[in-house]
Amino acid sequence: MKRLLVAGAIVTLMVVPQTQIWAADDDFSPAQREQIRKMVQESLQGPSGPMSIPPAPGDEAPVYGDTTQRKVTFGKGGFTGGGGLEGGRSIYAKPFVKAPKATVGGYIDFIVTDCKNSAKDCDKGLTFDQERFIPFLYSQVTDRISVASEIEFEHGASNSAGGSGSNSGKVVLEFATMDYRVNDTLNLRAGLILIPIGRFNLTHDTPLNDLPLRPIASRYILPSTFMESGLGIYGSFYPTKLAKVDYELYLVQGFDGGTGFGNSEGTICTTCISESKGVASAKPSAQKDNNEDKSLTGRIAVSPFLGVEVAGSFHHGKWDSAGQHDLTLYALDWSLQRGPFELIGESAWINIEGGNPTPVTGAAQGYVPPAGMHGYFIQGNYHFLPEMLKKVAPGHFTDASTFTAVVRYGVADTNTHSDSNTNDIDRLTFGINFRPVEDAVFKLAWTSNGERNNNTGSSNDGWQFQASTYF
Amino acid sequence: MFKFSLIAFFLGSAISGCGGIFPSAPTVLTACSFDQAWAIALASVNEFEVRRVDKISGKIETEWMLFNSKRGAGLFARSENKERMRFFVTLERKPIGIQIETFQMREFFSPMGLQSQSGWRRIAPNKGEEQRLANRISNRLKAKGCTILS
Repeated sequence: MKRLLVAGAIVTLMVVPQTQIWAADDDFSPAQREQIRKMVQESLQGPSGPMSIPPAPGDEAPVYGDTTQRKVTFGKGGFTGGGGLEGGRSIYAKPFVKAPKATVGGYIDFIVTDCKNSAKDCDKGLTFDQERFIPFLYSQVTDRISVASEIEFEHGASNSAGGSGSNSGKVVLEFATMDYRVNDTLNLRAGLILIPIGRFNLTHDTPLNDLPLRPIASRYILPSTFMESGLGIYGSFYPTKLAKVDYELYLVQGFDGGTGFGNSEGTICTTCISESKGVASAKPSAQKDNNEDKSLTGRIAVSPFLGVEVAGSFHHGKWDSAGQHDLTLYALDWSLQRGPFELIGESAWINIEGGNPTPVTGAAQGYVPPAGMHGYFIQGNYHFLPEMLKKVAPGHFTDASTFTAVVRYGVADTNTHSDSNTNDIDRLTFGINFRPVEDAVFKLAWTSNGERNNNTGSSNDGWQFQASTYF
Repeated sequence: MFKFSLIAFFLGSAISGCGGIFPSAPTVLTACSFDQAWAIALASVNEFEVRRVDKISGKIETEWMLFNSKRGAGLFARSENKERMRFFVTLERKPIGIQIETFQMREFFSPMGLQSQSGWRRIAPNKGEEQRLANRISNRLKAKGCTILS
């Protein structure tokens, strides 16, 4: 008897909420119905009395999206994830179906490189590299709170077979943020944040990019993946129906230039800002700061109309452990899209207070970083898919498939005040990729590397192939 | 020189592309009075929550409407991606009548990887949906006896 009662209670609990959910599915809320009714009635009360609108041929209700096929499946008030999300106010975003509120997925990339001599990210000779395996988690905790994260297993992680010394990979938290949505224009974010400097760092997931190697500037000047502990705000404005302005502003840990700066500290640095590594090795700990000063970083992106976006960004704060010297990084990035053509890029500059045109590294009495750095890339894409392929192999080539021809030119100069800096590099890449669907890609590229002040006559140009997909 | 030529080619192509620089939306031109056109335009969006109604400037803005994106997420094309859209219906007095424009603002959100950090990003409007709303207004204007000029 007791079992029957328990079973009955469970069945009741399962059925009753569903009934309420579906009952709520029939129409707008009473207040919304009344608001709409009043507005339409007021409008229809013309000078000649009430107007009626008789049905007319072809006057069917417009169909928007695929709402007739699939209902919104996230919590009461609607799905509101990500930044500046307004779904919660949509009368169509109702709790139609109970569904998990977490999205689990990831991406994988595998790269083959073959350069004549070793270059950045391209080893000498044929090399296989299981470069990244990145599970991610996105969770809509409530209508207003969301959590997102990426965990990176790079090069098979640190304890993989043969993984020691320079062959060792790592496991890294790429980002982990908790967002609180206020409205479109204001949202709060805290956690390990992707630094909004330049364009590439915010779009660095391998399946999103059209070439196997990252821009050379994103390896030294805007050290992607660049993330820091911090908190701040972000949001969007819509000045006109055509224009959109996005912003992000965070207070973060700031660069960690190590403990070896200057003579007074007297130790050899381990995280130098240097000609050989740029600022890549000065990315700070997620746990502790090297000084008590925090850095401010932000980005504002202006899109006057769809297909055009120009953004300015900065990162400013103390870099040395004494908290006496500023490092200012500022960048300009852009994206132009018209039809099948796309032109994207970014340019970044770094001013390092306390730096010197003749930097010193590895000296027992300390080190001195370069005083300035600069890097940029500009990339053109052309998307195409011959119709013939869809007829010949419809199982492989669909409306969701595309080829992209790519050319990119990039420069990184880790000491702009020196004419002898061997890390003044330029890189020209030609590539083509095929996307069976937008989130999966096979890339093939040829890269020409040039060291402007180290022309030994030996080429380190080479080929790269990469396969990557979100899953 | 070769590098700059390539950049110039893509820059020129991206700027010129196809068609005009600014996006265009369907319009209906009617000989009806402004009051009649306004009433019918407003009644034609009555299925949406309305964010802004300003008869003086002739603007009706609907609230965001949210739905699943037809673009699947990841290799398995899971239905995790979202889209949202809102309409801007604008009535403008022209020398020969009232012009009604149905412009759609559309955005895309994906929880996949770092795309979740960028929030909503704009995508091209659905031209079919814009046109259907314009047709609906046009049909209702005709049913009311208004002449449709274009």
